[in-house]
Amino acid sequence: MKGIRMKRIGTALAAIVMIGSGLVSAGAATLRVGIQDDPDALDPALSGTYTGRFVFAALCDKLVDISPDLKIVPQLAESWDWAADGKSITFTLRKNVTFHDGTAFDAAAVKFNIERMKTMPDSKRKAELAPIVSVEALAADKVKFTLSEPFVPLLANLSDRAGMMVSPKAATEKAGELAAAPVCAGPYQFVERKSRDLIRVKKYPGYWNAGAVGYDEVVYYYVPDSTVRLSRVRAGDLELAERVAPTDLKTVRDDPNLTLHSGQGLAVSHLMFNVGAGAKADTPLGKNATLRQAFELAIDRNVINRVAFNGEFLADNQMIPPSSPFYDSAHKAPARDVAKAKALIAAAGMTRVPVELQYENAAGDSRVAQIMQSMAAEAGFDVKLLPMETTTAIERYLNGNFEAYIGNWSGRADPDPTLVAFFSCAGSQNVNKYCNKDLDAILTQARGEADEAKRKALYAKATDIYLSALSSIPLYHPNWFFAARKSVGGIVMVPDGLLRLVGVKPVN
Amino acid sequence: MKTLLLRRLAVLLPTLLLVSMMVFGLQKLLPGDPALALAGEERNPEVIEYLRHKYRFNEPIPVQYGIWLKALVHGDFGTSVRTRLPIGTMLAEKLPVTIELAILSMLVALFVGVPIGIVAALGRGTPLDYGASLFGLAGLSIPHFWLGIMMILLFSVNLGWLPAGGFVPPSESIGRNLISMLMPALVLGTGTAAIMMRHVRGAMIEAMKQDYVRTARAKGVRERTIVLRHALPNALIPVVTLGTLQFGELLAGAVLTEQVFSIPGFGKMVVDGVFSRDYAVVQAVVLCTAAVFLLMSLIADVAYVLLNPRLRS
Repeated sequence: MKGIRMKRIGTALAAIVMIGSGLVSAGAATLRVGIQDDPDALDPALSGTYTGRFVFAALCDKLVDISPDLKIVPQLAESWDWAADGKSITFTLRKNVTFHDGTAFDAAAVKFNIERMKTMPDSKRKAELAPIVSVEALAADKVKFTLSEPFVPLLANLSDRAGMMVSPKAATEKAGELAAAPVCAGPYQFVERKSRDLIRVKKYPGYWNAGAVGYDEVVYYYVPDSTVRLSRVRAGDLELAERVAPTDLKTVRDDPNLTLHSGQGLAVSHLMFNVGAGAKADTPLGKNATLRQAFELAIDRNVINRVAFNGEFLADNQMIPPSSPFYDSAHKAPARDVAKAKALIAAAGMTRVPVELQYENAAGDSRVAQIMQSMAAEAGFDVKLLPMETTTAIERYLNGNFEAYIGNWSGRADPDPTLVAFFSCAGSQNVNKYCNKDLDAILTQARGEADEAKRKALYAKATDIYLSALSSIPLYHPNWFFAARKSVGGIVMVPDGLLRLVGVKPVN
Repeated sequence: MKTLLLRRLAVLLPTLLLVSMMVFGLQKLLPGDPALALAGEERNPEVIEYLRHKYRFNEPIPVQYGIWLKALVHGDFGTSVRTRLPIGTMLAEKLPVTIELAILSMLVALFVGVPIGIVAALGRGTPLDYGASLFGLAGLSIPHFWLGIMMILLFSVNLGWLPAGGFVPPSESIGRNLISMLMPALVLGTGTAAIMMRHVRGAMIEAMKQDYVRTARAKGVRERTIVLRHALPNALIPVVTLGTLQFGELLAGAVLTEQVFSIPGFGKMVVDGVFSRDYAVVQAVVLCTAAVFLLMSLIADVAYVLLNPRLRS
């Protein structure tokens, strides 16, 4: 009797396991990807999130792309020619490219897209495309952009959402719905989106490089917790998880079924000081660059990296990451020197220096703030921590309502958008109101300089200036970590951290 | 009974209206400009101003409320300013998922909590009772988030028996739907099971002391019949009320469980809505939760009257 019952229980369990494993192995040519955030509007003109860009990598090809070593490479444009004065650029477009609705991609479509992104009232691409004065379709496969000034970083801008092309037909006829159901010219076409759940895309048979597309379908699942995301890859019900937490990397490395894909990123986390925005700039650190240098000497970036991120990120003192060809290796990060920091504080006529440190109340920033607080205290800084809920923190940041702030910038393929944003007098992120006319002149000169070596020298000068003023102390660059099952082949890490699907295919 | 129903239904609408006003007013008190949250990293002032105007963030709060209410009367919950997806569709997708999770959790709570409560009451003071108390304490104090991750590690990663997360709609496959909901329901049901257990235990001890139990014993009725036929139905009356009210709690408390198991319910929707100042989303979710909660308490009252004949007069 007992034996029969046990047998029944066993059969039932086996049935559950079978149905369960059916769930696990569903769809052989489907790539299931765990993403950390739910993307915002899926329209390249409106999108403002990293996860949005991550999904766009499947849907929307761009005029140009970046390579792993941050070179500009062709995508929808096969080649380009700068005018001698740097004030116009002509693109030769790839032929026989169609959008997912079957309409043709041509010069007229490029003109439509650039004008759309420049004129749509809530377009977030206006600043990136600002130097473009007009777009002219010279032939079906030739399009010319006329610029207001020589602007070399334009190509880097076009390697992101500003260069993504949507179908003019869809954007005109279904203007209100495009953000919910994008129509682009990428390797995969949009199928469905369930808000805060999944985004499903399927292979577009008319893609110009369809032979290199390895999966029939890709589903992006929204799995906010990084440990859970990884667990789901380990359990086999996802093939890939993006942004694995540094603390979980050992688990990935130890799992024989998984491969860790890592790469240097473009992002930077830095400590901004309010040096000129209203009353909060009126602090010892806000007024005195020597004290800011003392603060830099009081902290150890390597310790921050080791304690907060298991040493998996890149401790560094520059806004531009070492992955960039414009990184200035002559400006090494200074080693921690508490005695020298104390001496600088004494030279400024002080013994204890108060500072209020504001940051978004997320795990990473909180740990960094606490570590800095304890290290800086040894040199004579009394750091008061002020954690804030994200939206509130952003509002205060934009209004310059802070003494010191841990800023996280996603970075760009070209140094210009980062350095101009933070350090030019009218920069969009210059909320701490740092202003140096010499630096402004150098940055303006660099954006018009076509010669890479000369440009690099200009950015080295710029680095020298901003690292002396230290209106901002760069702390570290996060790296990208994807955990993927061994069955996924062809993943190439690019510093922008996006999963490019062309070339990614199942392997046995 | 009819009067009771009518009276309660008449209160329902004004209550919902009041809830919506409170939520609307309270979230406007939150610091942080939604237009800034929407404008993205570049934060172009022109775009920010346009967004403020487009979504009427500039208008006085009562005007914004009026606009929202008017649309709602026409069945329009609005559009999420973050994703540009219609909120009505989002609710239609998510509410059934959260309700399914709450129902399954309630079943777990009933099938675990009630029997343990009865056993604990009958064996009062014995090791069984202490064991049950320990279960109750653990059930109430173990965080759902931690329990969920532990279960994923055990059943999905190590044993490979169950999917680690994700949701399969019942329309796709009822079997796979239930399997995908098994761990989340167990996790979410644990706390409620503990509460149930404690209430059933108390009510059962009380019922076993009553005169009718003594009379039944005196008549020589079997102990099993006394427990199941005489004491239990009376002990379960407060459990019905508790159950319906706990159901509301489950709806509201599903947030973390949904997050751990990546269940696309609406718990997470409200949290993200608050952080991105997506007011219309928060408003819609809170209103729906309040409506379900009020409906459940109405059902509780009706069930109470049905179960307790003394209240029917």
